[in-house]
Amino acid sequence: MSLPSEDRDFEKHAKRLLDDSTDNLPAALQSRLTQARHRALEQKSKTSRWRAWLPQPVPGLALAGGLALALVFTLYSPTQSENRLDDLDLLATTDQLELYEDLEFYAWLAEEHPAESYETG
Amino acid sequence: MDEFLQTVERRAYQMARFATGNPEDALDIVQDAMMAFVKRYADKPAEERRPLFFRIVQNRIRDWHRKQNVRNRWTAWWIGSYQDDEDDSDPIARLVDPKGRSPEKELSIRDSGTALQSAIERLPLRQQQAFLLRSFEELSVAETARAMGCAEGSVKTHHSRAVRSLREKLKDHWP
Repeated sequence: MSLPSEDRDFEKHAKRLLDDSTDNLPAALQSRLTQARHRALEQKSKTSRWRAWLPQPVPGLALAGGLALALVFTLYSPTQSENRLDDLDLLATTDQLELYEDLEFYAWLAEEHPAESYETG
Repeated sequence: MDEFLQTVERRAYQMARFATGNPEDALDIVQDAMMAFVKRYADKPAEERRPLFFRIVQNRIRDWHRKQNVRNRWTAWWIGSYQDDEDDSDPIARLVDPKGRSPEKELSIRDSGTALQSAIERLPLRQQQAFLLRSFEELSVAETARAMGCAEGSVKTHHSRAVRSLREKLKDHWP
């Protein structure tokens, strides 16, 4: 489904306007974005230094333990429908989609680097 | 990594601002996305970084909308119960517009750039995401599908509807 030519012209015009406004973000805002980037990169280097002191299998074992515990609770806890509704609500409004992203990340690790997964961070 | 983030941070901010209508929330979303991206995907090959990064941004935006919905529900309920005996008009109608647009501000929107931004803000979220990822960030259909977590067919549908809707809304502003 490709766009008709008048839609493509519109798209180009819109992109140009959006690029202009992006290139001309206020300096103060740009500065805060730069600070945010530096914080993200700094966090990475701190994490790497901390992990270098851990015995290598620890993160992998912790993950396996966590998953096993989650499985046990899921299968054997006496949940009632009311509680489940509460949980669903909680999940729907939870802070981040961390779990989902983590699962995707761990699945990728297992596929791509099965022997090195504990080194990545 | 620094260079990559530098190339995407401003567009990510724009996307978050369109979605939230709030510069502070948009900054929080971008910072949070950069943190998560660096933590999880720093070692990914360069060609996979953009769709992954924007996937995190879009997830954060969706999460923001979920929270807003819950907040609005509770606010509407609270206002409704508080004023039940005094006023039977729709409590939702009395909520402040989260994007802060007054009728005067709407009327003052004249130039095409501002009109475009306002029209993008008013698109349904999935159309807005598809339009910004495809037309602004210039991701491919497959990359956009990955970033949005949906099928390629859905991306095409949302994108073409977004373009049609924007053209319709902007016909009085654009040449």
